[in-house]
Amino acid sequence: MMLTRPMRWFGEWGLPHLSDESLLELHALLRAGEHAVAARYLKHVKSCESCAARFDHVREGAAALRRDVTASADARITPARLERQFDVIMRRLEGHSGRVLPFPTSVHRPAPTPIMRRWVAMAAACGLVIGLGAGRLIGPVPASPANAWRPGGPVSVSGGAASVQPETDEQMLVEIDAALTRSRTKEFRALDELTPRVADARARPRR
Amino acid sequence: MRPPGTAVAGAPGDVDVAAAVKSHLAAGEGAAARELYGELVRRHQRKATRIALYYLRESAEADEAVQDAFVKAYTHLRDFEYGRSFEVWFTRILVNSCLDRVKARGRRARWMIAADDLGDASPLDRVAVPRESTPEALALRRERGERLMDAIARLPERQRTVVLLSQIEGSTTREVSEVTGLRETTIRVHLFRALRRLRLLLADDPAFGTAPTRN
Ligand SMILES: [Zn+2]
Repeated sequence: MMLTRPMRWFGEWGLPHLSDESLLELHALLRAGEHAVAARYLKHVKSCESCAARFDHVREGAAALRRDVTASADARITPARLERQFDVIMRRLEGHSGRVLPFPTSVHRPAPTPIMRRWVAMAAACGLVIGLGAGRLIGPVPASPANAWRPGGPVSVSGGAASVQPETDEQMLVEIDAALTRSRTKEFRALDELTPRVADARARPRR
Repeated sequence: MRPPGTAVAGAPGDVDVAAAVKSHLAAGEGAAARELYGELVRRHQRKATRIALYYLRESAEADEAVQDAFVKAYTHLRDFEYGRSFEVWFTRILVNSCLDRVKARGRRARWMIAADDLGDASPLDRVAVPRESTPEALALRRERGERLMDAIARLPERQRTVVLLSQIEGSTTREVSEVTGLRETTIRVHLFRALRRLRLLLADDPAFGTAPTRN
């Protein structure tokens, strides 16, 4: 079995030691149980004091990091959390409903942010009414009190275009994403370009 | 009752328990099936929650992804083949459940923006860690763990899955291949890329002591 970059393991002619990166990769291979692939590279480490010492260092560092990250996750997993989770799973199995039961509130759930702007609604305000899939239309989406993502402001579109609201916001976003990837509709492109990416917005310094 | 997320030494293996659950289900003995399946849940719950936390960070979604995966595994247990690893089979379901949620977050993040939150972390990613006072060393280790989790969360999807399962949770490349459906050589490529990227992401982080000295 070939490695992706076999030459990098031993460096160039006259530079027989393994690079830091190679030592890290060697450790990762061993960790993944790939002893056969690692064997010929491990041979050098076993016969070279300098690389053996560096490899020990890599191994200790990686083990410490692994302990830290696992401990960091485990610290959040209290016995009470596991018990609650277990109870919910068992209740769902009894009901066999397949429905996601709300998780008990003592676990943090991000609060809905008060001002969520629905860019689709904004686009609708700009007069874009977009056909989705099999004749499905999406237009201005009325604000719903039950909806966590509220439109940014009043949206009114004259002309009375028919509007069918998808079942959920999630469903709507799935459909828009799917339509964007397959559609050449210029309105979609326009909408996409008009929609600021969160990343772009974040890149702008706060005033 | 022993704590969840642990297994009893000498207890029947996962595969035997799963097979017994299947036969109870086939015989219409729902209560017995559930009780036995509860044993599997307890064995794998902690690790499953850890994996979900790596993908979804601290959130109710992490618990929901774990719930979904266990329920889905139960309702699809007939597809589980005797002789295979329950853990690997289950992890595949779990990882897909997490990735679905990560993708949904991505869609929301792409289309939604919190107007009062520019320049801050996404509210969806906001981590609620109780900042209890701990000894300094412990706090530093926790900090390192957090930073590494953050860096892993920034890896592309496949690199993240490979590095989490093989390097953090100790799965073999073969098991990662079963979970992801990727070839072993491809997994190695993702693994090496992930390591390189992690080194870059953490290079300037003093918590990792690898920051190059600058003049
Ligand atoms: Zn050497």
